[in-house]
Amino acid sequence: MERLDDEGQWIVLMGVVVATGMFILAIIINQAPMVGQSTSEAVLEFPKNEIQDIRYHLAPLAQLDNSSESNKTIDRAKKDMRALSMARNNAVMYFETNSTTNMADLFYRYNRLTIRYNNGVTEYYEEHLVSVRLP
Amino acid sequence: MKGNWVKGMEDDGVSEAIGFILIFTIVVLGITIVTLYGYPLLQKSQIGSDERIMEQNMITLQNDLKILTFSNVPYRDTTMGISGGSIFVLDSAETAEDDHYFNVSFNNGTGPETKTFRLGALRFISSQGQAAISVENGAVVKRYQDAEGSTMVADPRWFYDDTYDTLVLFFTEIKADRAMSGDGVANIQMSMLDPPKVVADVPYGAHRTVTIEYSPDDTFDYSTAWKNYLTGPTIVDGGFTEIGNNMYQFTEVSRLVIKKYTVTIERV
Repeated sequence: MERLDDEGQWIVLMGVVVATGMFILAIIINQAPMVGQSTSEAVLEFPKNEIQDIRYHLAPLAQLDNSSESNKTIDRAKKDMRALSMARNNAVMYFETNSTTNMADLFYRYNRLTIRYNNGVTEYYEEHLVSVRLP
Repeated sequence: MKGNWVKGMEDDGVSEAIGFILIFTIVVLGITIVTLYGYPLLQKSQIGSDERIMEQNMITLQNDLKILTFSNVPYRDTTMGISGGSIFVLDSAETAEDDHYFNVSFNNGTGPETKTFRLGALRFISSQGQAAISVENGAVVKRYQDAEGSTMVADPRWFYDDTYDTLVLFFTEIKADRAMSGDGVANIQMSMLDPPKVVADVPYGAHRTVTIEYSPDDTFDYSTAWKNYLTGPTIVDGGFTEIGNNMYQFTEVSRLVIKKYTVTIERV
């Protein structure tokens, strides 16, 4: 050993760098199975079509007047919608219509419709005015 | 050995043989330490990672059950790699024998009524570790067999609508016509051919009391998990009140809906 040959020290350095890199990669791979499931689930589970269906069926009901005949129809629909929502969508669904509001303009009278939908994951509340053409 | 490599330093005592022995000893010591301490540590982390993967697999199974039950799909199958243990299917009749069931007591409008729900389970038991992870009643619960407690990995979808004070309880019964178990790569086929049943739908009008009782299996006791779920804020802020051993009560229910699904495991 005439003199110390330090030409090859980079090999040792690379060894340290590669080892550290592999260690960090191993930690990242270890964490990998924990993500993914819940995020994709949340997007799939939003009941967009169910809510659209319900609104589609409720809009004509909300246009009815305040006669006893219409009230009967609405009460029946309430029961049916409630039972159907629970059977098909596992959701709690209520709606109210109010045709006694005195909101009106020149051509339209406005009935109030409130919808409440809850399937345990998504809670939806809507209140909107349905226009009825004045005679 | 050559002459003085640093001026003024004697190298008479330098021996190649002793140097080799020293280096060899260090190498052997290193190998020994790694085999004695490093290897068990590696194995332990392997068990831990197996358990974590299985936890994830059980959540996948729970999701499939959710699709089967809540989305009204009749058939569903999942293929999963099962590592570090086996998965078992327990028929609801078998779990009922072990006193493993739910009781729900409520007023049905005319008088008090108690309904019993048998559960059944899909259970993973670690072969090297102590973990037992179960899918029971739509929830994923985990416990260690040498320890007391248990924890809920994924909740069932029970909920309470506070606008109209409606409590909705879903019960999922797992049936299997024979004992089944799987390891390695398992294909789990399940079906829901019986339509879901609305067991109770009672509109009270006024606030009534609902009592839930969880009766745990002695060996696989997940009562802590259910207790934390029911008394915690997941279903309703403030949770159910614990009124006795594994008995929980909630008083502000204006409408109670109980739905029951029966899922059959066809094959593992």
